[in-house]
Amino acid sequence: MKTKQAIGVAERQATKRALGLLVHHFGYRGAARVLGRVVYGQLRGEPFRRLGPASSRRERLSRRQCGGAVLLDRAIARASDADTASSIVGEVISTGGMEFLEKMVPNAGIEQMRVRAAEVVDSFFNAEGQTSFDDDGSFRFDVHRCHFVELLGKVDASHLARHFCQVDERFFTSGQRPIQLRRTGTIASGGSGCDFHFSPLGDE
Amino acid sequence: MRDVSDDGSSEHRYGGVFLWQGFEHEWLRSVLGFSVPHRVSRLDNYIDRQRSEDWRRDASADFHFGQETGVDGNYMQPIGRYAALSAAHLCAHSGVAEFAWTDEGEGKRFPQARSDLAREVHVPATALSADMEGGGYVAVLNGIALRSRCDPAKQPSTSPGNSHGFWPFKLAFRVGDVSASADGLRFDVSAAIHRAWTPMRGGLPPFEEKPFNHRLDYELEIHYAVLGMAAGHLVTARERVELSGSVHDRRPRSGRVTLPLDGAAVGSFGIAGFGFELKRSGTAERFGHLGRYISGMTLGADAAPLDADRGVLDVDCSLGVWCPKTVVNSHADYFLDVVGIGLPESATVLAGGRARGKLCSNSHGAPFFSVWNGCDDSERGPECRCYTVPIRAEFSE
Repeated sequence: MKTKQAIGVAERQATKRALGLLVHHFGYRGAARVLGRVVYGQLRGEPFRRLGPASSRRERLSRRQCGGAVLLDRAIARASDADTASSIVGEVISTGGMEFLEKMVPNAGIEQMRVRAAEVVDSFFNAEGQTSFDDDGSFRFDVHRCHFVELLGKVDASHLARHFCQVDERFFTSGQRPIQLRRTGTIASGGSGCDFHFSPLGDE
Repeated sequence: MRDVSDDGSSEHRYGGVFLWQGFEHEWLRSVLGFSVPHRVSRLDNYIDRQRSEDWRRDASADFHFGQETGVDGNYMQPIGRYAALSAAHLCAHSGVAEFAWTDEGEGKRFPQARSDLAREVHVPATALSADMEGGGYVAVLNGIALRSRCDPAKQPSTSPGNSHGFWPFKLAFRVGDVSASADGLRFDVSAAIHRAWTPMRGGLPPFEEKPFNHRLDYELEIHYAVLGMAAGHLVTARERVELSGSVHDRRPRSGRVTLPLDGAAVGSFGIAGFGFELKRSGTAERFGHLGRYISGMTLGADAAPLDADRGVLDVDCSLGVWCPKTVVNSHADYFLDVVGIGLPESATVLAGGRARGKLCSNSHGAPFFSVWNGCDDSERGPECRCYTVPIRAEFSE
């Protein structure tokens, strides 16, 4: 329930941001045209229609979270160019993603996060992996499968995957939580996994 | 934000160039022994109007300074670092990449506004010397000019703005590598301006809080120069220096980078990027607000003469953002992208140039207990938010 609520809040924030950016770039009429294409696509079950029904809850939620971005990217690219589309969609994903993480990641230090690690990583439905704990107080989440990367690849939108990765980085490097994230590779950038390494901050 | 622009308002010269090598800005007013820090609403430090009848003899240019406090009064004597080069067949092309935009705050718990900008600059082939075909090129910064304005109409009615300034937690400016093609040169310019509330929400809760401006209007000029020389005459090397420290460190951090300029007889360096980022450095809730009032910024470098035997140029970098103890401490990461420029024996390098400006702002809209109107004819100087210093290089005796 919490996950769906978080997705709902994130979608509302992302839509608001998209509207603002589209009006800024294309004016009210142009923005309406782009959004019209996105809504039309969603009503037709795009962009994942040809893939058939989702095989799991994780995939269904992942489709919901990244499908709108694909349609928005396509609609903007049609109205303008690929660079503009990627830039706007990146900002929209960032806004929605930050809101999602704000709702899902407990505002707690590393000790609490270690206790709740399994629960926290389970709420990131797009990622499948393993958690482990280090002696220095940190913990790792090694992701070996990312539904975003797989789904985006299947609909020729792999270029959007990096925007989703950047949200994690932005959230944890912008002081939103009292923990540090270090990640040396991602599946989206061609790696075999995403190595999330959460460690404590030094107190002042 | 990303687009492509043809290099419009620009100038090109043959035979020499002034190289911008960073800056030191520090507010000098103190109260009860504590330095008075400020938000940033203006930050200018750049070189333009480079001119000479004959670069073999002498040349001059203008070094511009600017900084504003936001609300309270203060003064500074900012320093700009530069070097001058004279070299036959050196082609130098200067221009300005201009950005204007409005940012937007996001997030409820820790509101932040982030602006990440990028543009590809195109210098048409017509702006280059005919004998530069197949030559070597490098882009460096000539400095920056940044302004922010708070438009009351763009703020929510529940949170009106009280200053044009912002509390930065990340500032970064860069020019990229140059790619040459038949229609000219192309390179990227980019900037990041990220702001947030301070741990004490701009004041001292519950007595005083200053609002986080929901939206700010910005104007940014990134001044750049592209240097070119016929193939084989210009040797370049680019390295990044990364240092870390705390904003309570009064002295900037120092680091040395050794640039390989094999085959060059003389050399100097330009700066292709600089910046800092403040990081969360405590677990308490307030540390989630990353913005800080700033007292001083030093982001620049100096170089020893090129060691032609070893074929290297040693560049000493000084990087720091300083806040007094009245500001909550923060970890800070700094970077400087240094570009070594190696030239033939016939070239002349005048290194270690310093220009010093004089800026002073009286209080405007400050509460009665902090009003300061000290700008006068003393060392502080009259009220002056931007200042231009003519600089000069004499290449021949």
